[in-house]
Amino acid sequence: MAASSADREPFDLAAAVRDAGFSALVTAGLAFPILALRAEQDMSNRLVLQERWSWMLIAAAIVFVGRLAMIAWQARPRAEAPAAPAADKPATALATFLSKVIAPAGLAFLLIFPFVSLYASGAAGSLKWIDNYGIQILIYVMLGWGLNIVVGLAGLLDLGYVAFYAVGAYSYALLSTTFGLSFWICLPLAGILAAFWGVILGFPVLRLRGDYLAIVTLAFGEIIRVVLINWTDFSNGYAGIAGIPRVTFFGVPFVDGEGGFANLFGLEFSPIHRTIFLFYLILALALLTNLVTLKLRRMPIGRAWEALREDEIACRSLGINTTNTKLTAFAIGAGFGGFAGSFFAVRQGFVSPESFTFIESATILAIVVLGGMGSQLGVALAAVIMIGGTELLRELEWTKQIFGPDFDPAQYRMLIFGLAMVVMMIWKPRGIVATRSPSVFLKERKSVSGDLVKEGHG
Amino acid sequence: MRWRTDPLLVVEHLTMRFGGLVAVNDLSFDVGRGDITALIGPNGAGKTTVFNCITGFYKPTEGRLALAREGRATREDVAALTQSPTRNKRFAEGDLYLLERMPDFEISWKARVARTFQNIRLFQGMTVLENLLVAQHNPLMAASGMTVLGLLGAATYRNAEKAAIDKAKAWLEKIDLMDRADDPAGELPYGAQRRLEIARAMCTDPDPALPRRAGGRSQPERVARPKQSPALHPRRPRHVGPADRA
Ligand SMILES: Nc1ncnc2c1ncn2[C@@H]1O[C@H](COP(=O)(O)OP(=O)(O)OP(=O)(O)O)[C@@H](O)[C@H]1O
Ligand SMILES: [Mg+2]
Repeated sequence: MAASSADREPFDLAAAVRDAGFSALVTAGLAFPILALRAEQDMSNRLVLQERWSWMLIAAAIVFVGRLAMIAWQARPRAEAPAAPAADKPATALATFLSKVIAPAGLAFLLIFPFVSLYASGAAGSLKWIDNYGIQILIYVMLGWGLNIVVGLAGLLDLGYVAFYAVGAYSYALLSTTFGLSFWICLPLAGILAAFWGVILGFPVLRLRGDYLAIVTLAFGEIIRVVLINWTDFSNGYAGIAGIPRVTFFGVPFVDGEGGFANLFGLEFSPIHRTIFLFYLILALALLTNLVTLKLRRMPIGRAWEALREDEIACRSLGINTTNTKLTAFAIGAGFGGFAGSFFAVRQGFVSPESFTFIESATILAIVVLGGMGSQLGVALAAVIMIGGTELLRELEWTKQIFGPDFDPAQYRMLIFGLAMVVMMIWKPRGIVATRSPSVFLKERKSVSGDLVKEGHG
Repeated sequence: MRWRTDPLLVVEHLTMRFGGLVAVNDLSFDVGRGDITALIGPNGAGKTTVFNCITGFYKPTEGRLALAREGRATREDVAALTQSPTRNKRFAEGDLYLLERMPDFEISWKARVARTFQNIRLFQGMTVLENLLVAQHNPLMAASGMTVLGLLGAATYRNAEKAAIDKAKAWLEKIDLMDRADDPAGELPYGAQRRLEIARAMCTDPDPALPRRAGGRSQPERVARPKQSPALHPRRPRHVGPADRA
């Protein structure tokens, strides 16, 4: 916004009031149909228009004051402005230190997480924590890491990533229900099939750039979903595929009685065993994604991806076949999406096209952008915030005490969430981890400021 | 004056039109092997366009660009290659490439033509060292067994990477940027960025006849002028040296 110009100029009250007035006017315009007018049904089922001008004025007033405060804050005198780069150094040093600590600490926490929650809230209570939080977040961590290869490293804006997730899920669903193949065979197959579809999509699409690429990938995501809906013979349409074989402990099913997992290990049967196993499974898959990505980043192909994001023309002048380079990014990213998809199918036991809507692609992309494009740690943190945050916001029962029993907090979940995202992106426009760590170094690894790193253009 | 006896690049009737605008009109010239050749002209004369045609970033509207990587290009060989549907061929006299038939990345990779850009194009968010390693992508890619061997940690790849880093170091020494190797390229001052861009181009192993001879006596310069500006009177040669900065 006007932030950069306001940075240097002294505070000009007239201009600030004008700016804030304009923002308030825009707010009033937006609020007019949403807040000022409200249609309600009366006793005889007629629609009556309620006018709530005060709401509109309050919204406009809040924006006016807020904007004014923001401009004033940006224009506050800052004597040490030229010294900013120097002041940056300890901050990045702190960031690198934190990233050195956060990753191992997070991993250690994840390893003991199921048992901690089991201990803390019992078998029934911990189901929610392990399943709704643990597994759910880890799926998105994995998807975020997969998409990070395409968007964060190679700089290709892919708005249809969910298509590969769907391919993976349906691969396992169909292969297991039709041919009775086990999960452990289907898992790699699902990844290969998704990668294959990544290449199929890649060939015609990768000559496009930027917005055009985004639109076509978006369309591809929708096409896959629409095909799954309409090709009933193949995918059973809206009804989806049920009765997908559940995960086994390398062949030992999680069932009660003779031959089951609990029986084999002399435990008392509990559904939590399967959930815990699923948790470790997705943790392993996510860590595999991370490991491969980290290794690839240090390979020529990974460097070529990042170079592609920085400057495609320079890449070609250095003899890099950019089409192949983009295709590999697409295929590998898609492959991990496929792995995650087959995990999704084995966890749910049911797949339907409903699970693969555009909002999923948008969420995964938001995780990558929020995390800081290209940063593995950032993406993981962003997934925790995004998915954990939306889950936590479901539990806003206490707000009823403030707004009265008629207040339904679940309805405001997305609103709060959206606001949080906006604030986040203003506060940290380059994402949570805004620095890039070089793939190779001679003397010391200095992280590269996010301002220098490009976002890619197609 | 090697361009008469041993031409490296033979440009004939090169024409580039952008819609109605004729940027280069029927340009022909030869570049001698080992010569330093500069292309000069006033702003908008079409210098950058010529370089973009030679390096494959534009497909020329008309014309032939024959490059003899090794040995000599005889008139008959060029004619024979033009007749054939392929883009390059080994002849008794030399290894010939028709650049107008090749995509840009192959001109760098196969025909070994290196270039820099009028507006520096570094990978700004990558370090100086990384920039020089990206330039060695193709040999490293082969050494990593298309990434598979590299992922498995094969010794061949590790050695190749070490060699690549050594080569990068040698160039860093030459361009006097050794102590900035781990800094992002975008943070270098302009002059250093320009030197880095040249070093990066050199790391692609361009044909030994193409680079500027570091410190060597400069050869008599041959200046080719785009024909559409015959009245051209250069005050001083503007793009001498690795003239392909356009
Ligand atoms: N991609 C393009 N599309 C349309 N016109 C172009 C394109 N590239 C160059 N031109 C036009 O072709 C002409 C030659 O431009 P070119 O950039 O080759 O000149 P130049 O000799 O490099 O100039 P300078 O000395 O300013 O670098 C100019 O009129 C320019 O506007
Ligand atoms: Mg130019």
